[in-house]
Amino acid sequence: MDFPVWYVPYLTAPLLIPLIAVPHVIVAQFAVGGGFLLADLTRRAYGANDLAILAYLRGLTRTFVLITIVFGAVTGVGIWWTIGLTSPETTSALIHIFVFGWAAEWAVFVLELAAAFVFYYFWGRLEPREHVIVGWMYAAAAWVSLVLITGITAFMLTTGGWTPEKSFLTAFFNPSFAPQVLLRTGGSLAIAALGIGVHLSFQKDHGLDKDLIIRWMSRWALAGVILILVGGAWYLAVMPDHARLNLIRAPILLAMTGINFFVTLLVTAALTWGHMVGSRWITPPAAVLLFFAGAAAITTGEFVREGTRKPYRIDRYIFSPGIRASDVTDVQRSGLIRRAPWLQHYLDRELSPGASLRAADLPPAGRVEVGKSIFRYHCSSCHAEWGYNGIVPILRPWTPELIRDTVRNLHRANPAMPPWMGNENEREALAAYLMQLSQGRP
Amino acid sequence: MVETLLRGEPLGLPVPAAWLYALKVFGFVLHMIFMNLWLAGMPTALLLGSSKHRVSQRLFKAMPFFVAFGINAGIVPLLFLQTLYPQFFYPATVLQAWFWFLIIPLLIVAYYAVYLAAFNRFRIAAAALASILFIWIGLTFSSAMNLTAAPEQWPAIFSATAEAGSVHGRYLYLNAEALLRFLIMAGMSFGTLAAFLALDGEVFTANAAYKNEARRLVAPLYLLGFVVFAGAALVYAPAVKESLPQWLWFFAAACMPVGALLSIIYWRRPAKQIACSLVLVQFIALLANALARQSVQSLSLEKWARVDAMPVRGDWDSLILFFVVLLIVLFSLAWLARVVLRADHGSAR
Repeated sequence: MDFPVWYVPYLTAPLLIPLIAVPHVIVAQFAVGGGFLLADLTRRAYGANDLAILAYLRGLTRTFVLITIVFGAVTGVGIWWTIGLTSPETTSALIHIFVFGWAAEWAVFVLELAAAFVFYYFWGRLEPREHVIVGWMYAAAAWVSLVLITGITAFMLTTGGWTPEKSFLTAFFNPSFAPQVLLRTGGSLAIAALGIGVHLSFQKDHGLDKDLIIRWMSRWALAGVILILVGGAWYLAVMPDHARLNLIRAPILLAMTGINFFVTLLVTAALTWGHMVGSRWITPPAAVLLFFAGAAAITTGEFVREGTRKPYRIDRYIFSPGIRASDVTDVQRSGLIRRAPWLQHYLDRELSPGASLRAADLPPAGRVEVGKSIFRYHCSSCHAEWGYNGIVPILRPWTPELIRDTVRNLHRANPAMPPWMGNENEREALAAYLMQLSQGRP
Repeated sequence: MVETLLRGEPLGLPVPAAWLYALKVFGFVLHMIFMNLWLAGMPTALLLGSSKHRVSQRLFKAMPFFVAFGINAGIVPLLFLQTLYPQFFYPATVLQAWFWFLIIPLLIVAYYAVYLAAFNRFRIAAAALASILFIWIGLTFSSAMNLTAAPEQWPAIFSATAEAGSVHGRYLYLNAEALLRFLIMAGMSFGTLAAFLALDGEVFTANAAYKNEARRLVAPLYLLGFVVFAGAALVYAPAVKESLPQWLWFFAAACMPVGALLSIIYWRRPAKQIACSLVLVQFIALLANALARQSVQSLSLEKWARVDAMPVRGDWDSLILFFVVLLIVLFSLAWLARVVLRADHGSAR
């Protein structure tokens, strides 16, 4: 509420986050798991003195660098970029708690970049032992980077014993940190194996022992699946009650969880089968299909993680409209507009000086205008008018009484929604706007 | 009026502001080195054009590293800017939301274009595209940083771009000041590129033909950069003269002329010592520029909010963690450098 709101029609600004975050997470996990697999495969290929596999791995590394160093790196920055635009209050809070965690991640990423470049560009010019060490160095840096970022994202779901007076370490080692590290590490190994499977499927044989590569790779992938299962169960166990309630109540989250389980099982079965029968199953369509299944598992997992967090942006600290939990009572008493300086400035200029504070006295058109503005500040972090989670189709069958009552009891009507954070006048104004929308008028 | 729009972060600062300023400037200098190399290097490589030109070849091949490390280093100043000045940075970028957001997809396109040029695929088109996008991204950055330091402009921009209290984000604060600041940076970029070529030719490359080509380019590139820098700085300087301490003013203004002089001496009598002097002078120019920009930003914002008056949490364990990680990374990088140098000298297989 301290900052202006950027409204993106039909999508809502926050929906831009998954558009960047989902491809990023897939590529970033591919980068982490791929690091381990590449280092280990290179070690084994040197050990077996298999020149065909080494030549193949060199080509794979080039593809790997092009995907992870370029797309992965920039989209990673892109997530941070986008959350700053769409949830500045949350981003500011996270940065003020974790600034040196992020700085450490930056330092580790320098090493990740340097090791990746040396691993690829000095292929064939380093001693095999050194070359493999560089590969492990890349893998370790990428994994530490994952751990550092997971500390921050896990904190958003479970703040644990953290309070604003407590230190970075209390925030970082929060209850869902370790389960999420296991989950993401496992996911990284599995998606990397599936990604390399796609790459391998398009290779002509020419003396390349694909069976051997699949066998080496499948061990990592199956270890990854075990980590996913352990981490997933642990994650469900430490989930806050409100998150678990969201999971049960929201059909979309339940469906996503179901898809997640299903594709994880599918991938597990395929990897086990692959381990037993070797490269026969690695045809381009099968490999691509399995990779998409793995990507679907990551996407649904991220969707569930984000969705269950509601109504908080940061567990028990900041609600989705960008209001701190400690400020709610005060906002309800003094009014939302009084706490949103940009909105207050807008209304006083557009309607009349002081209009923001006397919405009830305004003529109906003015009241609707105030309600529309309140909608943008209170609701548009999850709802567009039309489009994503559009409010108009939801409201169409609703009566004015139901609308008024729901606004008054938002969090009782749906626990994924925050409590109403305004005074009576503002509630009336929002209800007036929603009633107009329910009648099909913009 | 503007004061009512400014709400500082209630969590306060993790450590005293001096640490955050120091790390911000450190990160910005690091970012500037690589960003200068791509900003000036890409159009230079493109204009040198011919695939037989060794400098062009080398620049195209080195460009992916410059971009990778430059983007990475760019995270640091932005991170500390958001820690020191969240109440200024976020409104300034939200008001220009689409342009700020577009940097990410444009950067991805530019980065892949850099790789296409490095791999000699559609080189001319890819390099031209990357050059244009880098310039556009630079202008957007300049606009964002300018508006961050000019909160007095916000109410008018907000009024012009808000509907129902929320902004549409299709606004770019690209005024003469932003353009001048970008031109100062562009001028310095050619200086940095010239210094890099001098160093590369004299220290890192044994190839005599490359060395000759690089030597011939150092003075023209530096002088071009100096002209652009001096032209833009002369127009821009009076506006910020009051914001800079005299010693900083001296270094920020004097380094490029000294560098220009050194580049001419190097052209007449190329030698390793002169190349190293040029690199040192250019590094001081970048450092002075980063400090000057910080000084202008701090003084512009000081009248709205005093950072030194903010509460400090004293989150020292996180700062220590960062330095420990940094130390491990530096040791690892040193080991990597040793391995690479050995491989380059042919001692490895």
